[in-house]
Amino acid sequence: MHSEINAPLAFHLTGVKSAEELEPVETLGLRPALLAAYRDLSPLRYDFPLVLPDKPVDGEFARPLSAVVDAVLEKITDDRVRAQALAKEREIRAHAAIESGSLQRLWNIEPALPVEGQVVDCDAVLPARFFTAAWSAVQAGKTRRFHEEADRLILQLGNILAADLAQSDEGRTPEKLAASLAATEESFDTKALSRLLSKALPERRLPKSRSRRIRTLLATLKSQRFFAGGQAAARPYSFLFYGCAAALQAMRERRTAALEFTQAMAAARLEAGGNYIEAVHDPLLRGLADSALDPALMPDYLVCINAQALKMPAEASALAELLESALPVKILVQHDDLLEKRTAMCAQARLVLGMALGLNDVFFLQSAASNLYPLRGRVLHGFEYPGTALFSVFSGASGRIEGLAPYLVAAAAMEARAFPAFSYDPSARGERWERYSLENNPQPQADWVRHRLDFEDAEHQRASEELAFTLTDFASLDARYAGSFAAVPREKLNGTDVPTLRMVDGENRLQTVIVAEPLARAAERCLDAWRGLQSLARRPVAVEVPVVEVPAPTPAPEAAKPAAAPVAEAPKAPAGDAPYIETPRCTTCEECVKINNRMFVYDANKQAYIADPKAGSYKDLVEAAESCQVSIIHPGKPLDPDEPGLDELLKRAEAFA
Amino acid sequence: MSDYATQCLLRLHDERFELEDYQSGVPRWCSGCGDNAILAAVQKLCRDESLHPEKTVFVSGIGCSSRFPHYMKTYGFHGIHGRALPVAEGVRMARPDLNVFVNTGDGDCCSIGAAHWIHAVRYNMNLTVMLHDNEIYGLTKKQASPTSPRGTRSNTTPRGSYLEALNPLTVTLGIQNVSFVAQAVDWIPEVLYQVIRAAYHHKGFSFVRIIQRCPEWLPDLFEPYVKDPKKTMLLTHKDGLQLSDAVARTYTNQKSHDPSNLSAARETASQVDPIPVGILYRNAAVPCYEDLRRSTKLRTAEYIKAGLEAEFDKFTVWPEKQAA
Repeated sequence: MHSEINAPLAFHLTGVKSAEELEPVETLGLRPALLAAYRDLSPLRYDFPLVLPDKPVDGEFARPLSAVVDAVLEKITDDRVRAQALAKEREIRAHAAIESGSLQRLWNIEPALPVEGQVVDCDAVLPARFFTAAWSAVQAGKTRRFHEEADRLILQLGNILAADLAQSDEGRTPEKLAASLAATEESFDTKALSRLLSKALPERRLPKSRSRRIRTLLATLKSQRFFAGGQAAARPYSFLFYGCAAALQAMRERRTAALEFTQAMAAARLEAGGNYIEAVHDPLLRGLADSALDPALMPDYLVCINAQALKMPAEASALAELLESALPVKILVQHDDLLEKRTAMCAQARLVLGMALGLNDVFFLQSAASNLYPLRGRVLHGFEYPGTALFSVFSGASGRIEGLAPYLVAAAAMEARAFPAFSYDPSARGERWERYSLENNPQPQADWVRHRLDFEDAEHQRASEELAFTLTDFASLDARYAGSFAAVPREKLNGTDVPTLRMVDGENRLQTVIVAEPLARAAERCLDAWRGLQSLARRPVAVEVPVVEVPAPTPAPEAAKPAAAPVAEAPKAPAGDAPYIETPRCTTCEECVKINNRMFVYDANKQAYIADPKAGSYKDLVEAAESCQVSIIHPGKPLDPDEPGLDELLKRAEAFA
Repeated sequence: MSDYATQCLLRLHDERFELEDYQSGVPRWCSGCGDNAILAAVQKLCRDESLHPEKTVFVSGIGCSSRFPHYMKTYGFHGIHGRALPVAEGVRMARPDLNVFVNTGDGDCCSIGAAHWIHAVRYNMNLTVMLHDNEIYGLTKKQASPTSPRGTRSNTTPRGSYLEALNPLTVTLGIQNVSFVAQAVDWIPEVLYQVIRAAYHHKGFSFVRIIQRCPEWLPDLFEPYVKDPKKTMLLTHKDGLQLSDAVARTYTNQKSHDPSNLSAARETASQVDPIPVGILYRNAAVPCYEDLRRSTKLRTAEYIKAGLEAEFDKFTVWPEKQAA
């Protein structure tokens, strides 16, 4: 019996390093081979740092610093100045990795940049700042649209009251008339005019209830606190929160005010359009419920929370309540550490995703922070979505991964399918699968993302391998998982079938690393979750149904056939000799009704028909037929055989038989 | 906020109107005049679309057709000769919430008002324009109009008119920014209604030439067309006329015409016999002038006063400045 232990297999299964050739990864300082090329990001011109403009134009709430600088470089022809600008950009990029700051302060050279704003790198505060900037841009548009309408309504309602005053005795005093005529004392006798008007035009005032209502509406619109920039004495409400419970509390406190505001806007619109009917609308407006709040026009709440806060039951239940509210609440859940729980990696992120998808009408976007800029359009769409939206973002700033910028950690999480980009838009039209999107994921059709790695082998020859970047690669970055890996010389594997990684040490030497079984199993679960997302966003394959020859059906008996769809039939001559008109062809020319307006009458479409053949003589019928411009009157046979001149009339009627 | 609530509350309104809600007095047009058919079709449209009379304006120039606003119980403006369109454009600009219709005649539009007509097409403001074309000046008792066929004997052309008739359709279709052109005849009420309805629903300058009979001054001109359905060619299309069975059985001369095809529209419009009837051209993508120029500025009393003052100042004589 062969009793020697297969050390690689033993490590994989038990996590115990039973031989000397299995080296711990922490002593080697290993990192995934595919990340070997990314050590220093400062010389790279990529999406970060971002500039968040103070005054976004056309909804452009974020721009990469490199794009801002490029806009300036386009106009510079002097190579020396160009080099200086690029060097300054590198300097700002390096500075932003440490702390954010004002672009104007950092860019202290000529030419000046066309944008003013804050420079932010991909770090722990980026998600909240990025989403706040997007939210502010959308809210600015909403506020502008609100004021356009509210100001117009205030003007219209004010005009109604002004017109009412002008028709009153109070509005026709000599002083008021002089002011309205801009008259000097000599040019007009406003006293006489006032007396004349008071006598000639009695007061016609608005009903008191209407005038009172309009004044109340004006007061409510002017004192509203939902949109900034109004005339309210009190400060406008804040809609930015850093906790779900606080946001929920504020919503509850403002509920009455929100309903009053809704009621006032609806009533003001009806009043301004002259459509307000007291008996109908008073009770209806009083009974307005929360469902009347239109999310498309109410200010949006923005709630920024860290996933850690959801461990508190009060926050978790408040989040659930906000998501169920169907009100315009936008929630950002920031994840900093996906690998906190060894037994349930990425579990909290999946929990958040499941909550949103389970509710069906919540807009959902999941993205690593590194990928936020390319997904900015979807972010804006989420803010414009008239309902609740949930954004789940992995910042990459767990503080557990040394030597790697949060940008690379976040990008690695997306690359490893640990935190894929994914969105669900309930408002998307078309088939259900079209509501889901895996936009911006690398190789979205594949299981794992695969890349070719070129390296120099032991014989100094160029070699290459295709490597997949999996959850195990992502976990290998985190020192807490060092025990799940063991480096082993490749030849020592002896063909043992264990999962391995290719990693590089500090000197960029390629190593083979065995992965312990629990981590390998976690990777399988991660892949399964990714496949689940793929299946949601995939167009279903049409199944071809084989054509089966079926015998021709036996013709059903006539009576069993369904009735043909009714078609507009041309009016037919009534049975017998009764007179008739082809009414649909009548051109309303008035000829017949002028001859006899009791016999010929217009219908609801103002087209003629014979209402009562007995209401006139046969002569009326024949004359009407002759004068009809489009010859659609048919006199039929005379009802009275003794009518004078009947023979001649019958002869004339023959042309209209 | 409350747009949704407002819409719900508005839906509760009893918005049903009857024809009588739009009728005002007995028309003074001659018996048998085609204007009656147009009036009936327009009143039916107002009723079916539930147009609020106080939100609807009919603007006209001078002529038989231009008496139209008197017979509508809505707002109206019986303007000056040839100037219906500029007045309507002004209404549209100042009150974009109103439904603005224009009724003009062949003399009013195609002669004295021709310059306004051409530029109104180019401005493409959201107006429904009905050209009542009876091919004669009727109100002034029979003078040749620009659309009178060559040889028309009238008080101004006793030996018969010398010039070829102007075709309002091809002229309109040749102007930049044209967005809707259709033709109807007063003696097929169902099609007339359908064409006017399509024109109303088009956002932009909807130009409908309605060939109408004048039983007083040109009683025989359209008689052959009224009597012989084959002399009317109905233009059908899924985006154009949808004929009822009754009309389709009577008017068998039909042609499929795609209203998005401008070249085909021009070719078809130049036909005079048989008369093409239907929607010749429609392009919803042409921008409306009022949308391009709409200001978000509130027209408050102060704003208007400041504008007026600025205008007056241009013509004010400032003695102190002159002295300086």
